[in-house]
Amino acid sequence: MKQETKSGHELKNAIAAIVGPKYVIDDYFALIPYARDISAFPGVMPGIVVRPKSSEELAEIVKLANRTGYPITVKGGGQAGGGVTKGEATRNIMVDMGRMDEIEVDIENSRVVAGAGSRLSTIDDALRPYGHFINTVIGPYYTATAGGLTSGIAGAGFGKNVSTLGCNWTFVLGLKVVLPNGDIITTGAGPDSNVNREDIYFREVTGPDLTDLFVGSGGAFGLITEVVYRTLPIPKHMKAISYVTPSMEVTWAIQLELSAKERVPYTNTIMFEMTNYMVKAIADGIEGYGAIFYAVEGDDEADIDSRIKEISAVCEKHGAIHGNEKMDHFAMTGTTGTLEMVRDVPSNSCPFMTWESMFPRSKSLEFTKGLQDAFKSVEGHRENATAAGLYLVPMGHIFLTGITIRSGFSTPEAEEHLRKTWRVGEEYMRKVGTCSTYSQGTNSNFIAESWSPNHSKMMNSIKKVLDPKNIMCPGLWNF
Amino acid sequence: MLDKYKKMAFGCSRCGMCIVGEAGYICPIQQHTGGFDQYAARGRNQIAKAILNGELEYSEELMESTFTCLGCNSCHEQCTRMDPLTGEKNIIDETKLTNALRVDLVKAGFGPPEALKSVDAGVQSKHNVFGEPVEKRTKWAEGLDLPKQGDTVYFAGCYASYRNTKIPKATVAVLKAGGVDVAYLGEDEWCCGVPQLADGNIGLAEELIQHNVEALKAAGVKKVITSCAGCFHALKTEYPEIIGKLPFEIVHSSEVIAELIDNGKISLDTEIEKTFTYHDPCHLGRHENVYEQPRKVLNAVKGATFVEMPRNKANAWCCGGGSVVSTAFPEISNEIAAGRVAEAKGTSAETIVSTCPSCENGLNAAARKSKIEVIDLSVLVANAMGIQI
Repeated sequence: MKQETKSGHELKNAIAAIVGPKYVIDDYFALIPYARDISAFPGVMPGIVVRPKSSEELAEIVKLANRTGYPITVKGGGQAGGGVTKGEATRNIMVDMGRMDEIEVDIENSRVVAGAGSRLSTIDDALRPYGHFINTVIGPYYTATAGGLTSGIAGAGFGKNVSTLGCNWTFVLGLKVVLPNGDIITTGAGPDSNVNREDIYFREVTGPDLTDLFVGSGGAFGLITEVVYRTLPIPKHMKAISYVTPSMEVTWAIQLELSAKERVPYTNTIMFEMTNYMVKAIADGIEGYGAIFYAVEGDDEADIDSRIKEISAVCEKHGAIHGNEKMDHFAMTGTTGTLEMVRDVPSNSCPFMTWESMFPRSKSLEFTKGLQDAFKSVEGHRENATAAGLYLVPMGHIFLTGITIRSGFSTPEAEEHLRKTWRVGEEYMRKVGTCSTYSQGTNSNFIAESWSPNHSKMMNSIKKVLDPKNIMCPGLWNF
Repeated sequence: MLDKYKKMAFGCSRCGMCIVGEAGYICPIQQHTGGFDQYAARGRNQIAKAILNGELEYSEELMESTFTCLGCNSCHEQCTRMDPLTGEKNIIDETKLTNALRVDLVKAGFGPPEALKSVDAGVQSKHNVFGEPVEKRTKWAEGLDLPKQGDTVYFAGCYASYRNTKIPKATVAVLKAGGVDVAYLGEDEWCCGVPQLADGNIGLAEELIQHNVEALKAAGVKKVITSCAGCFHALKTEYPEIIGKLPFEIVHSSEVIAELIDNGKISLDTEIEKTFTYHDPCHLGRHENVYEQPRKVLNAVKGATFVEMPRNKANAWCCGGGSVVSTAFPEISNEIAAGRVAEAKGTSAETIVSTCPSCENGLNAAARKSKIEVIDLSVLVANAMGIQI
């Protein structure tokens, strides 16, 4: 159906008065790019898109939404994989957080204050001259935003050294948030928990810590406008090695043994099936089931060498063989989200779907096999989708497993196939006690179906108190 | 024409690598407008997809975001999109897709913007982008006695011929000193067609291309040397895509000069105690991958110090004048140029060297305000050889 371009959201002038006319659009054609995230989930057309520069401007927009009853939805870097929030199509005020990208480095206190629209790479760029980094993200390093990652992914996202440092929430000292009523608050030990405090310097607050209310909330309880991260010194040395395993079982045995050690020898690791397009490109014909990549970072080179030896001993004991030079190089870059990971190999493809979920180590092998079977059970998957395959990241006593599926191009048939596959996978995951990690749009609706009655009641109560008119991301978590 | 690029529009993963990359923000237009997705590649790709799916019709509203693209190829450089079925890399060429959108918009009766219509009228009647008299094109060559026929032809281009005649004079003098005798088409050299390839007037572009190729063939040419990055890209890449393989080679003057230095044919012995930085023209750098030769030349200048700008080579920031944006949207173009000049100023350089007369033109106004000089590489080389222009 052809649709003529048209303009005319009722709040355009009022919003333009807050942010300036340059930063608000309501032309039909200009809204099209805002209808979808990177997933195959169907789009939701916003009514208007606005790019505020500050928490204060955003707060005024939220107050306006409250007065007029227009829903607010949000976009960070546009990297969401769980679908856009429903709200009310053609009425939604979509807030594009891209202009809120200021970064304030405070090395003396090992922290950085990042606007919600800051890209992870730009935060690292600001820290690099000081020899620091944040535990950013492996995949969409250039495209995901601080706000999007903190709000939209379980645990505020999986950082560069997720295998040993865990999820990003550990390093989030606090947040600045615009609440659904337009109030601006700070969480953690910030100026709101002590009016005489200047800023957020540490997470530990005497009293309830509100930070986790917003981490992974998708924006249902408020919009994150600033993230304060703890920074870490960049290690002086890094070495890497790769191994090729003969079977899934061997892969698991190796990763279970290494990740259970009192001193985990690697800093980061990731396993891809050899069928993965990234591995195929560098394997040069080496055959096997999986390729495991290890990176070891530290300040003591001798210690790094001994850790590499320890990894090699375990891999070789289980029958894995050392990869080639290109694979070792990829281990240096691909496990840590550096430039080569996202440039030399494509970071994603379209349309694509990724299931990422966290599962206890004890039954993770059975879980992953079940997930693969669920994927393969969808009729026509061979014809409609190219399986990028399984990947695995041990995180202490949790395994993060994911399967990326993708089709060549975004034809309606391919997208429909991926949506079907997603539902089957998501249902399987919930049945065995986990879920995919995206706190976003359609995926949040699947996840909320598994909430217990008590959990659901409490969540709805919090939502009602904070957002009685349900104007903030309505539809998220089935609110 | 957009149909031809369906694979690109449908292949875009909407990831946003076309907005932020290795050098931070990478799209000058996204940064100098309201920053909405319609101004960046991923947004235009979704709009193109909607058109191809029959969900959106061409309209006047589409003109601004379609005609503001600089064609700088920075997004193409960053885009990691691969065809997962064939393994083909970098499948999305946003400049081509945007140019196709422009062609279709114009065919549908929308555009080009008025300022570009006037450029096209000048090109149609006077064969140059300024609409100035045909005979003015050859003024720079007076007294040089350049033959009209020969193995090697120098193609000056409109900007050098009409706005900065030091460039063709210096280029020809340097080449001659290095033993390279060039012929010159004179009034038979027409606009290369780069502006029309970018403004949607594909018919006029084809007319210009046909003429220039015929004129070059008639001159018996085996090699074309140009000192304009835009002409270089057009002749080397766009012409063959439109009319097939050319029976002659195309090289940029910076490549030839670097070779002359390497072979000891020329030496840059006149001391110039200045600090230079180099602005990579998009058409020479990202479009044609010529990065090292101009730097090699700069490093050969006796007494000179060469410093890089933070955004250089594949990450270089556009001068703001690409794809006729300087004509259609001069305010945006000037803002972008001012940003680039400020970046150069921050390196402590006293002079910005470029290899494109159009870039030089775009950077000059901001450079004057910032009290930094802009000079073409061939002029600098002539100075360094003690040649008076």
